[in-house]
Amino acid sequence: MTDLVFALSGGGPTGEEFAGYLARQGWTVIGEIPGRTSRWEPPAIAGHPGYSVLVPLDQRASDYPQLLASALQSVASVLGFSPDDAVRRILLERADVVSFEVQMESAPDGTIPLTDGRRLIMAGYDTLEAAALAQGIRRPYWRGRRPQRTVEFMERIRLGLPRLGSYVVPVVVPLSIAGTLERSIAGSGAPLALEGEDPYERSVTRTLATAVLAAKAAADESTAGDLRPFQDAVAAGVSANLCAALGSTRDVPSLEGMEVEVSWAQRSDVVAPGASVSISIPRPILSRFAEAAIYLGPKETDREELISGKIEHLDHAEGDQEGTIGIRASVDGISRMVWVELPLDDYHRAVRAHDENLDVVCRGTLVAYGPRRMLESLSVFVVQPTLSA
Amino acid sequence: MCMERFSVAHIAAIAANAGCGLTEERVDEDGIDLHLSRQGQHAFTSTPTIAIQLKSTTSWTESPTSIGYELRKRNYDLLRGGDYLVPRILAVLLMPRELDDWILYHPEMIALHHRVYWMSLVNAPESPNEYSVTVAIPKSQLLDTQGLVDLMNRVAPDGLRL
Repeated sequence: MTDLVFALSGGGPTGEEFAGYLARQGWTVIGEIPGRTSRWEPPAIAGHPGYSVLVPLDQRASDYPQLLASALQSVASVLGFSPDDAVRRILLERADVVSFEVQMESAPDGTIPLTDGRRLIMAGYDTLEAAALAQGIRRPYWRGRRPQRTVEFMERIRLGLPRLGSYVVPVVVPLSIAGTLERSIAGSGAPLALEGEDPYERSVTRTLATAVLAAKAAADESTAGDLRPFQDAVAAGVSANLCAALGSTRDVPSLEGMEVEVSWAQRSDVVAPGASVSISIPRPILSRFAEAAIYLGPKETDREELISGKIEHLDHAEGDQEGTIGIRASVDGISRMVWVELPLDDYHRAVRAHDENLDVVCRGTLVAYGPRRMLESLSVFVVQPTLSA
Repeated sequence: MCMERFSVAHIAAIAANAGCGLTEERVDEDGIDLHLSRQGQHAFTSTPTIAIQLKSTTSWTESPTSIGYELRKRNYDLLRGGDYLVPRILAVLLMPRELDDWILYHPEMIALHHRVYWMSLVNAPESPNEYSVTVAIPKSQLLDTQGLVDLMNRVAPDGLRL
């Protein structure tokens, strides 16, 4: 009990979360002191007549930790699992879980080679990162320094316990609570989510589900010689990063396929977007993903270019140290949108230039990412002054 | 250990007779041994619960109105003050010294010796003692079946109505 009490004081489920969990499991309140305690009995079908459990709600009370630990132990015992498992089940209700399952032969002891396990875990990591990167302007490829918000997100997500059988790697994505700083499963803070909006983390998992579905659809539509459907899917969050992440698992010998599942947190303050999403990706599709990663990836032109034009797009996420602008410029005689990443000071100058309809001049390396053009390694960024009449 | 199990059995019998549910805490790290609850609407709340620190003793002092019991300082402090979600009481089982006298067997019944008294220390003052505090448990607060029902009817949202 002492370990459980200690664990609960350091970021485990609250009494309210436990009560919410019991409600979703069909338990009924049979008595309560509002804001202080509630007493629950299990559904009749559970077969425990006369049993009830007291759940503490007021965290300020001196006996709150002991009562909560006692309640968790009691319910776990009645339902036939360990107190730690009870804590885990409740905590997972406040997190989305993205599971990556490979269909392959594993040893009778349920193990797989470490090299394959590493590929699987890295595929999970890179897929989550690709979805997080797609929260800003959608691009066919991301490289270089990641936005701060993406970095923070990747530091908050957790690797769950792999499940036996077909090897499954679950990634736990704790959701921030709107309007508050939440103690996440890791015990660290999370950014605020605006009232009425999905938490940022939910946006990422939604994007992941949408993007993987779109990538699979693009793979079905494409052929070895025509990968344009993947370009069309960039708007849905597909990128070379995402395709490379998933496609890399084809290097696992004896792999037959992969399944990506997204389970939504069961929280009353964050609406789950329907049932959990399960996407099966057979090996041939994973190979097509690997091809698409090359198609969408960088094609270095290695060309120094000076461009000028008006700014038509602005994009900056709060907290980031860089912003992105889109300049309508002539490249090779063709009017194109050229994307440029700027440090914050220059980005603010760009915002003023956009508002005042002024031309800007940039010099850097023009890189083609599929049909998208970016100017990188910037050496010049100048706002053209207004010519007086 | 035997005295401890006997005292739990004693309370369990009373609780069952009073229609109370009993939960035994496996590790006494907060000074609480048992929780008793009784379903249904009572005087001040629905399905009240009390937390019991249970002691048993073969030596006590007695006056016309109270039982004197020497309580460890740590246990005394765990029962007094604080904001507790579940009201706490001290319950002391007075027992015979001889093991053979704990239970009296009769062809038609068995009798558990002797009796349990209870008290609340929620408003008790801080003690300067280092090891123990002698508490005076009112003899009027006998924890038998009716006493337990009456106790449950004292449980209110803000604590025990004394």
